[in-house]
Amino acid sequence: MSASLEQSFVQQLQQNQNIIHKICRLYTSGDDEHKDLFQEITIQLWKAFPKFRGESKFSTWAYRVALNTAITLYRKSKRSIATTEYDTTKHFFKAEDYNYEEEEQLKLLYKAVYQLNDIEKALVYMYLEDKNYEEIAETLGISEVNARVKMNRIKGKLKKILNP
Amino acid sequence: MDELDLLKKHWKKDESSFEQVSEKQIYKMIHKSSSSIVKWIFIISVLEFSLWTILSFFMKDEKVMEKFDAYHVEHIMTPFIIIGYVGLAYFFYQFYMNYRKISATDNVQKLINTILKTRKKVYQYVWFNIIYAICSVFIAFFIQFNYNKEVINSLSAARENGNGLVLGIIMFFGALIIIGVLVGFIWLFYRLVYGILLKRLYKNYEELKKIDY
Repeated sequence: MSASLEQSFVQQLQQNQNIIHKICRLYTSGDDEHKDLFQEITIQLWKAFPKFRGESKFSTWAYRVALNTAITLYRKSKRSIATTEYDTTKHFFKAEDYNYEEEEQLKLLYKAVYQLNDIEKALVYMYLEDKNYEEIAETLGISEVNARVKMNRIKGKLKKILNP
Repeated sequence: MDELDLLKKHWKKDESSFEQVSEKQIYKMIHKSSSSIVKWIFIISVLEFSLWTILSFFMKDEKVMEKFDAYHVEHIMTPFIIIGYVGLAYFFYQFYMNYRKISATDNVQKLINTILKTRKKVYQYVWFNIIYAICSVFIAFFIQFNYNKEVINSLSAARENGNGLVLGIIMFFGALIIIGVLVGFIWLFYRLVYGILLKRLYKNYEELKKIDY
């Protein structure tokens, strides 16, 4: 693959890397795993890049490949299998607008989302990213109506996890 | 407020909390090799194909082949050997075409489906080989009983002594046990490979199916 293609890929990925970080946050429970998955997604994106024709935005194309990798292709390495507990030591707030109560609530929320299965996490991700149901359905390969129904069930499930 | 809405409120702000990866690091990453499930499936599958092909070469003992040649049973052997090679070519072609179809840009359901199909072809090839092996045992028996003078003579001697039935039963069960152990061993091996590699894929595939029904 040519050097200019490589350069264009690296630049676009660098600018859009938060897409991947966000997916890693939902699918992994610690820093090591986060890095592992980030790397695998990067490799898969690079492998698929020659097929990317710019018909959709780079970000749209990238999140789909990234979700596919997280759900289907990624194999947890041995060292990360042991960490099934969600790492709750992470901080979501910057020092200046630190809010203890909301921070604690967020931790619980992330922990609850982590307990969902791979497909449910994908739905949550797309919901948080404000994707419409047509796109959600297309990405997963299910019908729009069922995507909606499933999303409502997930909300119920989260409620149950958070208020047992 | 809905639980997810609270998360959504912070979701976009969250971006600043990620440790940013530099372009240099990305360059390094894309030159590392993938450790994806698909790659493992491909490696294992190629190993399976080679194992069975090598096995079938080693099982062709020359002395035995010379003996078989002396029986002039080409009309039985040649079609049987051709079937074996056609089978290998067919399965390998199918497997390779399916493997090439695997693309991370498909939708999730289609992607999992293609991976499982690829795996299924290899699985079918293994069964093809088991059945082929069983058939060879029967064909070998058939040829020995009909063309090998020594066997024919000792069989008729046993029959005259009234031991024909006993000998037949012993041989039949002997063959059955050998086949049983072989199939059992292969089945167990594949359960393990399947268990390790494909459990999560199947689970996710079932989940998607469940949503759609």
